[in-house]
Amino acid sequence: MGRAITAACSMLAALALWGCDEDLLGDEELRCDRAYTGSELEGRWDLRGNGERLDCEDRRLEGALTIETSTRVRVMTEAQETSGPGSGPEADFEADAFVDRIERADFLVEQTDGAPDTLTVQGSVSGSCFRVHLEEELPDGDTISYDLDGFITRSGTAEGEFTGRGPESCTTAGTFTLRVE
Amino acid sequence: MRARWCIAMYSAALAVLVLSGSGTAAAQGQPQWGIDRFPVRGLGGGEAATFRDLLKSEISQRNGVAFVDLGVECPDATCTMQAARQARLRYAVHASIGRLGRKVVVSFAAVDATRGQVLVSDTMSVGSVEELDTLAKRIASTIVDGRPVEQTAQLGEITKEEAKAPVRRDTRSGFSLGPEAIFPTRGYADEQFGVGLGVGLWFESMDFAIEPRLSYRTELSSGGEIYDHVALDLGVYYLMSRTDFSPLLGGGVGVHYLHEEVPVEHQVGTELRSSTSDIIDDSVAGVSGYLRAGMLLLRTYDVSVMLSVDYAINLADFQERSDEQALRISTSVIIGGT
Repeated sequence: MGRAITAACSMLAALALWGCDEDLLGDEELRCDRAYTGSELEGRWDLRGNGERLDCEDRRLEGALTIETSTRVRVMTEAQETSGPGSGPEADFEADAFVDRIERADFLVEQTDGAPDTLTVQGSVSGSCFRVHLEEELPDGDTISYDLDGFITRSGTAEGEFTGRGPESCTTAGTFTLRVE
Repeated sequence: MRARWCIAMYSAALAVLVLSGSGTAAAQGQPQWGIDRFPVRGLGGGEAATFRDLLKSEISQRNGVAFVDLGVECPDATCTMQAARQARLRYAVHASIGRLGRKVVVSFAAVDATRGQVLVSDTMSVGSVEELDTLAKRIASTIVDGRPVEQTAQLGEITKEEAKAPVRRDTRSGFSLGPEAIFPTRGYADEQFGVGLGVGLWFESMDFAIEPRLSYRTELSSGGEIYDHVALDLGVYYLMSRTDFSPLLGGGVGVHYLHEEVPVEHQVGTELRSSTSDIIDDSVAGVSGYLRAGMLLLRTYDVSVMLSVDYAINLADFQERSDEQALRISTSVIIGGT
């Protein structure tokens, strides 16, 4: 009975999210125990961000910042053993608990084989929230990196905030949306 | 004024003299000085004698000495010293009086015959004979106080000759106005070519010119780069020729205000492509300076033209640098001949 209720609620939630537009989603509290798991992040990333770059040695590097990824950024995910208690009410039956663990499964995120050598993608997904570190080595030896802190908001879509460093001494901060194809 | 050092050196001796008294009349309680008969040129004997009496009187009023006529007309102080020695007087006064054009010129000296030294020696002139009484007071003060003549001036004893305003060399003054072209070498909204207009005052002597000048400069850029520069400078130039073609060298310093807007864009990354855009907005004030080489044309006319090349540096706390520099070519019309 509990399992059926959980599944029904999940479906309703998924349907509700599917029908949400971006603004409505923005008003909603983002949580890590959504129906979408880390497997949603696997595929070619289309990351777009907006923010600001500050604290550069070269004043001309500072200003309003936009980020986008090339078509070669491809990510794979690998499910990991779920650790820690899940959020929400604890299931009474093992069958329900099993479904819970699948829904909030943890995943590791990394770039696919054959990805550009200059790019590093490392991160983890817990439930529907994730932290991913992106780093690119520039031709002059400098590096530019971003730390994404986001939520999978619906299938193949995530959003959140980022901070970053580089080039030089610059620091960056802003928000991003991620679409996975 | 001649031999001012003598005055300083022997002013102390005179003070002792005045306080203690000397001469053969010491027994009578009144010290005695000698005074010769003044050589006179171009002036009536009566006027010269009156001046001599006035001088004796003024000195006696100040230090209480009595005067003994040395009985000789001495052409100089050395002669007066010899006459004083013969009269067994230690101190004596010598003067000569003559006319130079309209002026009456008096040379005088006080001597120490015992030591063979001239204690005070100077020359004064007045514009008319009527002022000789004033002159006698001033000379008496100089001899008794041991101070230079110019330091003994006080109300009632200033001659008309002294009251005249000192004559100065003529200076040409006028206005300068003209455009300039700016070729930045550092800064100025990414070194944008610009133009300016300056207006100034022009003060010109034989060999130098001084020009306070207010200038406004702006860019002629088709992009988004902007600068507006207002400067107030004081220039000093050396004019190398007094003819109609005078090269000039110089420079100036001043204060300035500069507003700049520089749009900047930057892209970095191949896989994680990021781009930034901003406008560097600088509004600064500071000091400025420039060196100038140029040519002043038609210098002898009321209207002249100056062609010049400046190298200027503006110091201020710009966001990207501490100074901005430019080469400027300017033309000025200088109007004014007096």
